[in-house]
Amino acid sequence: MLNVRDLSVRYGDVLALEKLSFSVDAGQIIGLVGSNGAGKSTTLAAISGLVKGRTGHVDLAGQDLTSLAAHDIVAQGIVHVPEGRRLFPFMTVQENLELGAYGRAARVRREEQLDYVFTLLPKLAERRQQLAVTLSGGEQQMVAIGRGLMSCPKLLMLDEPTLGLAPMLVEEIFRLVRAIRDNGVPVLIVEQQVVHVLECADYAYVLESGHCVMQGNGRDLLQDDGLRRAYLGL
Amino acid sequence: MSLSKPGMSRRVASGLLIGVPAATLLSRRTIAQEVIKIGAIFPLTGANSVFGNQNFQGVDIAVDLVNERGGVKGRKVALFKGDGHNPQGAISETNRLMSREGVRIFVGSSTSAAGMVGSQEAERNGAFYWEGMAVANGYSERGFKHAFRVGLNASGLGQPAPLYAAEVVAPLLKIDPKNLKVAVIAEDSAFGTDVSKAAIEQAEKLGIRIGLKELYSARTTDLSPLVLKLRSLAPDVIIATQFINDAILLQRQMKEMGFAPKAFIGTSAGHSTISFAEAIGKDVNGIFSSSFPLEANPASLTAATRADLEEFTKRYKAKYNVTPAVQESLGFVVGLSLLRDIVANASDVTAPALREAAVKADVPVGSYINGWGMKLDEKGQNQRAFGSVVQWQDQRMIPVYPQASKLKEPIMVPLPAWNAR
Amino acid sequence: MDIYLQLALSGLFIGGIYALISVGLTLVFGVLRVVNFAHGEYLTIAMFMTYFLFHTAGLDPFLASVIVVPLMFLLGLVTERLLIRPTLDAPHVVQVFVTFALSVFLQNVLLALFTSDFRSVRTAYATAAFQIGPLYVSWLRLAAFLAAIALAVGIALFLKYSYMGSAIRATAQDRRSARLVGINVDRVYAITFALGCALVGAAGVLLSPLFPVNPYTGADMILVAFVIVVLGGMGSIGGAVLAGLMIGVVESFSSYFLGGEMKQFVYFICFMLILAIRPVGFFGRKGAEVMDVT
Ligand SMILES: Nc1ncnc2c1ncn2[C@@H]1O[C@H](COP(=O)(O)OP(=O)(O)OP(=O)(O)O)[C@@H](O)[C@H]1O
Ligand SMILES: [Mg+2]
Repeated sequence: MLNVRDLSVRYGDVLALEKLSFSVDAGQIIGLVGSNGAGKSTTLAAISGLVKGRTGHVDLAGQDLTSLAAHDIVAQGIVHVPEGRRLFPFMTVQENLELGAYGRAARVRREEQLDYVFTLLPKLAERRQQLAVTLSGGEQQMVAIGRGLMSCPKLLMLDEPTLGLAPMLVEEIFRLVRAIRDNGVPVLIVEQQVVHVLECADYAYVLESGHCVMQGNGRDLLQDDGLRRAYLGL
Repeated sequence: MSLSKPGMSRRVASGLLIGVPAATLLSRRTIAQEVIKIGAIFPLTGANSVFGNQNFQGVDIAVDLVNERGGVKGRKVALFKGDGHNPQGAISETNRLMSREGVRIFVGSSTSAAGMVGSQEAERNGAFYWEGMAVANGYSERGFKHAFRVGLNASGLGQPAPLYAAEVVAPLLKIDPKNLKVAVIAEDSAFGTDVSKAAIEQAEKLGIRIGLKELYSARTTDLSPLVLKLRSLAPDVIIATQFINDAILLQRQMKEMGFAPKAFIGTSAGHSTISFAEAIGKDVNGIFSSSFPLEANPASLTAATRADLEEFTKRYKAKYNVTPAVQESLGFVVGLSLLRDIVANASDVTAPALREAAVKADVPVGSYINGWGMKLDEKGQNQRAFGSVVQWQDQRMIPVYPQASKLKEPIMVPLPAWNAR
Repeated sequence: MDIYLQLALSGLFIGGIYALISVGLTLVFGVLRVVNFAHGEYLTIAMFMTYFLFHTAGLDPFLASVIVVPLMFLLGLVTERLLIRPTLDAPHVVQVFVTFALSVFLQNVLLALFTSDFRSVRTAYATAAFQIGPLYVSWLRLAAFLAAIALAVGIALFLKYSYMGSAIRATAQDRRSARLVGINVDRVYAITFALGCALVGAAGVLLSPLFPVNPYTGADMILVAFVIVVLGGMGSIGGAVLAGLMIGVVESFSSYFLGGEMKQFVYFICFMLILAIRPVGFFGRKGAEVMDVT
């Protein structure tokens, strides 16, 4: 459903992404892995309309998104949960979630969607009135994902959702990602936790200096010697 | 009030039409007869630009008139504007006019801030400075050779108010001047401080006790604390040195708080402006303002000066579309005294020659439209400049003091209730 | 005792207007991160508009607000589009230059159009007052105070409870995240800037019957607004209101007890003391990254 063709991004002189092409299909978890600075975050930002100097083509279910502004892309159904959570720090959990349903279409289904998020993430319900800045890292990540789900997205993009979380929480996040996919929302996930993400991804791409150097089924990639050497130190 | 521009633009347009050939003629002739360049340092923008522009325009009319009467010894006079909106501006503009335009004679300055530094730059470079409005006493205390002041100093501006209070107001109030309760208030710039100090010194000479002396910033937005203080003192007379907006604010807030002294004497600069009267309407009636003289009693003027006055008023209205008041006529006096009585009598236009003419000048009282004459003392201060007192009557300024310029008797002493003015 | 009450009252009244001027300034800073040095000129423009509506159409200043405030909002939209938006991604100095240049430019345009004469709106009720016990209360100042506080509270409620308001707060707290939840951040900037202008426009309307206006009136009054914004915490509306009232009262007491020429000095001392104890101001937060409506 998401089709990315020849996506390039240039930051001044730095070519951060060069002619990247890939796709995400309904019911899939797609992994995006690669070393630091490979261009993973840039890819998500280019799709969500956050970066300006992008070229190439992005469409969602046949709808061309290439020239849309960030807020219009959200309205079209792609939600980007950024690296480092980036909540609205001095708003409560509930306010953060409600802002997730800011778009005109999403607003109508706000209450319904809030219930859905609270059933998916019951711990947040207890913390409704707490300021986001006072939450733990894990809780913040939950709110960030919950906020992303509030607009009933057609595709959810997560940038390093497990960054800095304890192993138990990492497991929990991946369970959540699977649940989201199983509830019908495909997920494009960028991760440093290569083993985890490849185990759970239906398909994955490996980026290096802005190029896709390898792709395939998650478990197949895990068997690949080159990848094991480069990313797992094996 | 001064908004009606259509008439003016028509004038400007026709001026341009006939101005073109005239200018070319002039420029051909000036090869033989160079123009006399006068630099005008006034605050043309910024907080003091009301006065700055009024003063400048007065000078401008004087230059027009002199040119039309054949110039100075056959030479045309050209006026160059310099914006002295603050001391740095005055310094750089004075220097710019000297180096770029070759100006060697200056007039100024509306504010002491500009006048003090403008004259200093001129003096340093051997140019001549003719001050008319800046009142700082220090101006004539620096031993400068080529800086003169035809206008009042702070003492001259501050003295008439207590004199008037003692000579006229106290008897009308049936109070012995020695028992008069007086409050002196002033805005806290050099202007307010110097003038109010002069007023206090004069009052003390007359044996008047000052019950309250209070300074405040002219930018203030609330004077009610001051009004409270005044109310608790309940003075017979308030002597106030204020600019325009603070003068308006004080009257309004005194009214709000239901307080009024028996007499109110402003010592400029706000109290003798049209804006002041417009802002407070009928409440202005009865207020005295001591300042540079507004208009002289015609009887005290020479015939030629009466003609000047008529000519000035006519030209000013035509060129600027408003009736000239104190500051405008002052500008005219400053311009005319310089051109007619100094430059025209000097052997050439260098500063030493001008100085010689200035020291020699002996112009009798009544020779300028505001009643002044000119005799400069060894420090360069005009001894024949005097302040006067006007009173707002029927929302117009009427000269009431000194005797020479008095047009009507004072009224409303003591001041009636606010709604009865 | 009466004197203390009267001083407090006068201080609160003028403080309410300071607060209203400052609320617009702090709002724009909190959201756009732009210090609008031309804020004072917008005050001047609103006062001129009120003056001309009064003198040409005979419109009472309070009625004139219905025209002036929307016009100021529009003027804000235009300014944002033409001058502010193109510089939003530029370094801070550029924005400082732009708004500073705008301030000087507007002063000179006003000067060219209207000269530096002082113009006054003189209403019949300008100096009407009533007495409660020993206290004198000016109707006009009371009304201006109430209107200023009502507007400040109104804007706080708007920010807290409306969609646009929450979008504005979200943008203030994290522009990038605001984009990612589907907020049109450019629109938020435009509306916020326009709101800031409308608020200072309202302040101008309320001030018109109290003070004469000339092209420099706003510039003279805006200094205290900058002090208030910093004191209240950059970006904090509640802080601006509290600091505005406080400065008003401090001015009032210090001019009575220490003399009028001391009042700026006194509030400056308060300013330094409070910032020494609390560097971010009353309700400010570190790095001034947020806007809070408490
Ligand atoms: N705003 C920017 N301006 C200039 N260069 C940038 C910018 N953002 C990213 N880059 C550069 O683009 C390249 C890709 O960065 P990106 O953040 O996409 O990497 P990443 O794969 O997400 O890395 P990480 O795993 O560390 O998050 C890097 O070389 C980075 O320095
Ligand atoms: Mg990254």
